[in-house]
Amino acid sequence: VGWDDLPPQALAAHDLEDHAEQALLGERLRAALADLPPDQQQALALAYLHGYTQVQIAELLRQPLGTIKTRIRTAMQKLRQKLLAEQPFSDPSARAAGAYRKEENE
Amino acid sequence: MRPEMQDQAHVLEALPAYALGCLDPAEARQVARHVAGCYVCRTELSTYQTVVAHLLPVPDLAPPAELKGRLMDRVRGVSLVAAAVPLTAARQPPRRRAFSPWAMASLAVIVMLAAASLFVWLPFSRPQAVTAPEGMRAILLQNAPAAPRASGFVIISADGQNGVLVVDALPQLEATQQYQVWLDRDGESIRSAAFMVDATGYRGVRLEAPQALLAYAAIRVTIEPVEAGGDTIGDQVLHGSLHNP
Repeated sequence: VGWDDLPPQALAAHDLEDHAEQALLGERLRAALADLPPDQQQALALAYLHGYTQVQIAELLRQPLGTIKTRIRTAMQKLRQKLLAEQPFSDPSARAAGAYRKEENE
Repeated sequence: MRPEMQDQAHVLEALPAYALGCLDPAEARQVARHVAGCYVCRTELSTYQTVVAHLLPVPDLAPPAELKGRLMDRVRGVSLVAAAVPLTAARQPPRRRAFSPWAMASLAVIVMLAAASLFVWLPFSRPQAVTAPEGMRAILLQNAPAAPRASGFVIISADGQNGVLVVDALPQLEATQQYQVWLDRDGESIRSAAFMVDATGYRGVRLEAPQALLAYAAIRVTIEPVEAGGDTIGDQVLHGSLHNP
C-alpha cells in the first residue's frame, strides 16, 4: 500500500456538512503529502501504513536513526502547517504557543 | 521558566512521531506521561493528530484492546477446523465492482468487524457458525513448535477474493526479521503480506494475492529476514488449509 493507493476523500464525519469539510481538508493534506520529498513520503508510509517504528525504519532503510527522525518530523511539520493554513481560526497551537511564551516569561 | 517546568522539559520534537505511533514503546510512554500534564504539548499534539486523522481515511485494522482480547479468547476456545467454515455476518459487507486498495481495505475492516462481533457474541456452546447469506469464511490456523502459544485466523470475503489475517501471541522478532505470509498452490508459494507484531504479539493484516484467496490451497506464516529473497522460507509459526470442505 502506498500513498497513491489511498481513497480520494475522508469518511470519518458524521453528517454531510462535516463530511464535506473533512473530505476537503483531507484532500488538501493529501495533496501536501504528495508534494513532500520522496524520502519523507517513504518514511511516513513505513510508519503509518506499515506500522514500523522509527528504529525499524532506520534499519530497513539502512539510514541513521536521526535521519529518519528528521524526515518524519519535517514531513509532519509541513503537513501541520498546511492544516493550520486551512483552519486558521481553529488553530489550537496558537493558544499553546501563547501558553509556552507565558511559561518562558515567568 | 518556572522550576516545575525545568523538571519536565517539553517533548515537542517527539510529538509528530508520537502522533504517527512510530515511537518505541518506552519513548511513547515518556511522551504520554508528559503530555498528560502539559497543556502546551497536549495542544501541539492535537494538531498533529488531526493531520494523521486526515492522512489515511482507512480505519485501523486493529480492534480496541478489550475487544481484541475477547476475540482472541473466543478464537482459542473454538475447536480447530481443518478447512473453511462459513460465518454468520453481523453486518452486510458492501459489494464493489472494482477491488481498489481502498475497497479491499474497507472490506477487510468490515469483514474483521463482522468476525469480531461473531466471535464475541457467539456462546461457547455454539462455537461453529451457521451458514450465512454472505458466505464469509473463518479459517483457524494451527501453530507450530516455533510459536507454541500463537494463534491466528483468516477471514475471507463471500466471493473468496479478499481476506484478512489476525494473529496473536506471536513471538517478538529481532529487528532484522519479519513475519511473512505465504499462499501455496500447485507446489508454489507466493508472498501475500509481511508484518511485525505489537508487544503482545498481535497484528491484523490484509492479505494480497494476484488471484482470489480461495484459489490457493494453504496459507503459512513464517519468520524471514527483512531483506530475504523471494524463495526464502524460514521457520513456520502458523499454517492452515484454504480449501473448502
